[in-house]
Amino acid sequence: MSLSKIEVNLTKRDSEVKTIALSSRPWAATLILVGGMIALIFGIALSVSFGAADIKFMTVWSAVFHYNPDLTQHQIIQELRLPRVLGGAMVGVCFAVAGAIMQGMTRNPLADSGLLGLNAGAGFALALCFAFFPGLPFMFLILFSFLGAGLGASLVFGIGSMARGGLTPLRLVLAGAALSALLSALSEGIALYFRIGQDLAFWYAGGVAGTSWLQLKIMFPWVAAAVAGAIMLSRSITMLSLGDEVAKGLGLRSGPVKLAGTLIVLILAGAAVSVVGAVGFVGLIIPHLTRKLVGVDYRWIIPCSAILGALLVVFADLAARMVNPPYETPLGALIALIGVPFFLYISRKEGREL
Amino acid sequence: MHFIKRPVYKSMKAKKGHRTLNRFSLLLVFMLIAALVSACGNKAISEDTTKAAAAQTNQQATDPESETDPKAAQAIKIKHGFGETEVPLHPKRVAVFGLEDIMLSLEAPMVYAYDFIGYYLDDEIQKLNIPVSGSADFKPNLEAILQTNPDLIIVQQYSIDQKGYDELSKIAPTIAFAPDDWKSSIIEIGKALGLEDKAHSVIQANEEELKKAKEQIVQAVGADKTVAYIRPSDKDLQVFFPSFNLVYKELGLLPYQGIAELQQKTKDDWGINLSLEDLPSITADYIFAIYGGSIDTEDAFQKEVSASKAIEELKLWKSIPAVKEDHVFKVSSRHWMSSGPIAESREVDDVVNAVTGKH
Repeated sequence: MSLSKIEVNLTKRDSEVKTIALSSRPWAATLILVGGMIALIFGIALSVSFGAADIKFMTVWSAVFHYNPDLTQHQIIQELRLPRVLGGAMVGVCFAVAGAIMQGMTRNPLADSGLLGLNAGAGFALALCFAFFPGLPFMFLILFSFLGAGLGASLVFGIGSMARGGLTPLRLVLAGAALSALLSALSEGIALYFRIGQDLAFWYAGGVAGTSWLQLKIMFPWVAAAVAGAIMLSRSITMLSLGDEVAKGLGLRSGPVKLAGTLIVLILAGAAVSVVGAVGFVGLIIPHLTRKLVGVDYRWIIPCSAILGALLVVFADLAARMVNPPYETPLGALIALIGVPFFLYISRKEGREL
Repeated sequence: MHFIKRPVYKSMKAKKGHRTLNRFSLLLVFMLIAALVSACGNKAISEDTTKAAAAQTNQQATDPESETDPKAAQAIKIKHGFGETEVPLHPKRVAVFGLEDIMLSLEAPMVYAYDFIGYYLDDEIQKLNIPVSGSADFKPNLEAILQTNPDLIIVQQYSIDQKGYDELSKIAPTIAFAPDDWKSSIIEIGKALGLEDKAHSVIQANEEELKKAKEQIVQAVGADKTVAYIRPSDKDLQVFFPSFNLVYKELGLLPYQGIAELQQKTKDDWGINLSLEDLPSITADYIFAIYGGSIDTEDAFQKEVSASKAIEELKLWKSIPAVKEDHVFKVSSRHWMSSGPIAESREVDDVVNAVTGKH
């Protein structure tokens, strides 16, 4: 309903916009939302039933719905697998939505919290916390992670915009790569100096093992609020994605929208990094894929990205455990396996257009 | 003869630094002579010197070549991790990297050692007032070792590769030993230093200590208690195997049942990385748990312990038999992960105190 309205409004003002608006496919989006949700539930169920301990599916079922805290197998499901799998889903939502907002707001097809230094910034903040406040409760850790993501983002955008000719997507990615390298090097330096390499190794490799209910409880309100905020902003983000001029023409005050969007991105990236570490590329792959499927309207892109992001991480985590049992393959490496070729493809395509 | 020839040949092969190395071999000869002259004045090893001297005389008598150069008899061949090397008998300036435990046990003097604040032998090494590596970085610093003018370098095998060994050999004859079996290392090092008897007595003292500890433990809790040696974190769980630590074998405690099964799952002989989901399989009566790496300071150990609190919140952890009995002992990986008679002795103390209830 509301979609057709915006189409009308847009067509009145700009014929170019019309074609873009028309390429939105609400039916595909609905299909993704419903189908993706079903697939996600299936993926979560599958992931919860698979693990180091051999537990039958019926036991898994009863552990989830009739939890008996005295049974060892129920404890494994409840204390280890459920939080891990739900954590993976939540992290997927975070990275994907953050990526979608960044790509929409900055009109940068290469925007991703990993590529633009947010993840490295958050990782750096975590390294500082481990070094100076060991045993800091997760509640505060996550706040530092937000700050770190903010630090990474502002450094990257600051340096990127210092260049003559302003911020181009590729310049930003270069600044992001350089700053990420710097921040990771600093984190490693801290790890070496304070001998906390073991604590940090997990954050480098990325992985949802060891996610606790406490972490999820603390993370959930932030993520829920941020995603809700993203959906509320989605209409404005669509306008921004058409360019500042167009957005202005449509009567959008881009300043407050960009500020709110940035805050949401920092919260999402920071929260995700504080749980799984610097897993990149989710925020790059998923929004592109979603845009291909549902068109350019961010009111569809954001919720669909959330679902698909969750799906990607849940299945990647499952794969990470199945590749070489009983050892776990780092989640970050596994996603990068898909992410790097995808990045090359996008940057080549964009390079031609620039 | 051999001893002098070898470094020259090596330097020719290396081409670069030919002259410097020649000077080195000269220096080495000088030091060798100095060592010979002063060795007799050393009371601690005088007994061995006489023995060695007697052996040399025999050798000289049977070996016609050695008559042309008496210095050849002053060298001894030592088998080690990178082959067989001729080292001077009774070296005076021994630089050590990573095998300080053995050197301290032999009461052998060192001119250089691996040490830093927090190293488990830091107190003992500080007393010696010698140059030390000063950091936890487990890679020999060639320059620092060179500055101490060693006539023998004893190095932990895993701290270098063949290239690193070759470089150390340019400074002085170098022998390398793996930490896995300190008993055979101490014998070889004892041979090189002319302290073979002392080496045997260290081993004997260690065996007596183990025997006594075993008796104490068996007397206190019986001979059928099982033990597990693990490293938990809030992400995973490492279980160490019997080949890796004496706690399973020598102290009257048995490896817990699940270990054999775990050993079949991996080719590694040190242990295995498990998921926290495997916590319930740890059925041992006693658990010794380390946190962090072998180089950590006491502070770092406390940090690691406090950072691992999350695992203790799990019901899964709380329902482990040893946890219920309050038989989980957090021990410092500083000496539990190190190898040598001193590390072992401290470890044995930990186990005896824990099991017999004298925390």
